[in-house]
Amino acid sequence: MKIVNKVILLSFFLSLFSVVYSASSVEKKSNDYLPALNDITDSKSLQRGARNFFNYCAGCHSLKYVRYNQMAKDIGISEEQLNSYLIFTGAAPQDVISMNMLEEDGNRWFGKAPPDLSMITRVNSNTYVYNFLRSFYPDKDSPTGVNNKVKDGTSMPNILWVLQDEMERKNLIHSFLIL
Amino acid sequence: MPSDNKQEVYFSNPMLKWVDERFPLSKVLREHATEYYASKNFNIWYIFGVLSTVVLVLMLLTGIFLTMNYKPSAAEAFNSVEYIMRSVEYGWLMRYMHSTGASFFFIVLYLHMFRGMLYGSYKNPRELIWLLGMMLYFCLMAEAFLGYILPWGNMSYWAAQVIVNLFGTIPFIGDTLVEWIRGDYYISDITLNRFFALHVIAVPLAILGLVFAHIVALHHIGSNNPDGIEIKDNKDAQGKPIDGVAFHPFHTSKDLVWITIFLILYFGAVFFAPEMGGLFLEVDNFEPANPLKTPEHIVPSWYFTPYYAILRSIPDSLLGFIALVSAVLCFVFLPWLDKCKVKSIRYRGWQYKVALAIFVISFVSLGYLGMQPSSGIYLILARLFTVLYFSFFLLMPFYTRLEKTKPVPDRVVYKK
Repeated sequence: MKIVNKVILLSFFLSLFSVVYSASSVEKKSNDYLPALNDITDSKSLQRGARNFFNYCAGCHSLKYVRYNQMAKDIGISEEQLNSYLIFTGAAPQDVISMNMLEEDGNRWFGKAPPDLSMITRVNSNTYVYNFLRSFYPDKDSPTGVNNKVKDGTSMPNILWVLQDEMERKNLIHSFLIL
Repeated sequence: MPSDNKQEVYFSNPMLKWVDERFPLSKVLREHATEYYASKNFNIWYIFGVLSTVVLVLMLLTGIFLTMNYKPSAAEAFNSVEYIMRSVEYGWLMRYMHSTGASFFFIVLYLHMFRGMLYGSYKNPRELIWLLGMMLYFCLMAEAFLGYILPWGNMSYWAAQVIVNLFGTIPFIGDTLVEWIRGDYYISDITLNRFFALHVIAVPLAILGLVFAHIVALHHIGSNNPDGIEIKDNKDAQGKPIDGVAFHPFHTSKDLVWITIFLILYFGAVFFAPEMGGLFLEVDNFEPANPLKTPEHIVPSWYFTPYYAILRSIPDSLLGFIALVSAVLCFVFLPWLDKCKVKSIRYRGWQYKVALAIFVISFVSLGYLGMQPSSGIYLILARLFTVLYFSFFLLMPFYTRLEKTKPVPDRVVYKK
């Protein structure tokens, strides 16, 4: 008898919660983002990411809370490798990854100075960054010639266009793997 | 004299003996540990008092290390938190232990309060213990709010804006009061500085004093138990409660097991889910404070969301503020609202059981609704649960009078 009572009480509890939750599911937005599938234990992947960042992003974007040597330690490369392959600015290994563009210049050139990227994945998630970088499309009305599906009206040009061919091939494999 | 004999037994170490002659060390240990008798049938609900002490200690210790590296200035606060996270040795651990600890503090506190409501721990003669506990709860809410502002993220800024502006709804003095709290015409560096002062010294000092009083009062009366009977009514020839066992070593050894389990869960969160999907650390707070950029949904930390839902469910801002304050204050009056003579829910009538179940559902649902946008079905549900929440307290004098209680046993029992 006692157990029956408890089951009744529990189901009463659960049904009330389910009302609240089902109400919530109505308003949930769906997004068609592809998963980033990045693996922080894969040091080769991390090193390729660092290489790409310093070759394509670091000209405009700083990582003002990240130090070069801390990053080197995190992605598993030596200080020599760091100095010869990733530091292009004459910064010391213990410096933070800063950028020389003045904010006024950035505002003048792009409409809005390129933001610091230290916190970008914490604010917007890996998935956002991954999909943002993949979602450029040609747009004649835009000063950069491209627009972005994830962030409409972005002032960032499609900086990775030189990698596009390679990307396209990989995407085929990628989407195959997801399926 | 018996106490002298005990003193002989108590310390064999000459150093401790020397201290004991000059300081009531053995007396304190006897009264609060080795001869403090608490019921032998404590269940899992009786661990949360000890656990909240554990969290308090963790918060104080990690807080000291955070204060060493944190800079309470609008220009540097956000940077210094990232500096703690990335450049200070084990700074990330101190920060995550502190931020996760805040949430765990409220988890154990809410369960601790719920225990009191289950077994009538707030009733005569423990009203003052309950009141001191409620004062602790208010202090902790203030402490959590003030601490939330310190990282100076965007949600910190806007949470400060919303909460401080609540005082602006008070007629006549509102605007002046808000200005006085902020120390400025807007939330600024000055506000951050004074919130820092309150967070690291004023409120913690009050909390420590209240914890001391809470425990002294508890040990004066003696702990309640799941049967809600007074174990001091049944004493043996030596004057010890028959149903009690000494706090040390019996309850302490049991508590150690639970403290270990608690720490496993706590460090699980610290190491693997410090953000807890945005519940413990909110995404908007990883952006620096920006007075020009209002977050899409300004949501307080999860432990305040029940009250936030109540605030938003009322269209008028002053009435909303009054409802918010009274929702928190309602708990204070429990000892006098509850007219039932029986303490423990084990022997109470169905009225209180149903009311308590509805209250818990309302509280948790309001907590969930407080995180959702305040419109449509959410608003309707929030209003429904707000009514249920207040009915629990306001109707309590009536439904608790109607209860048909079961006979209360003379001695504690292990299983019903």
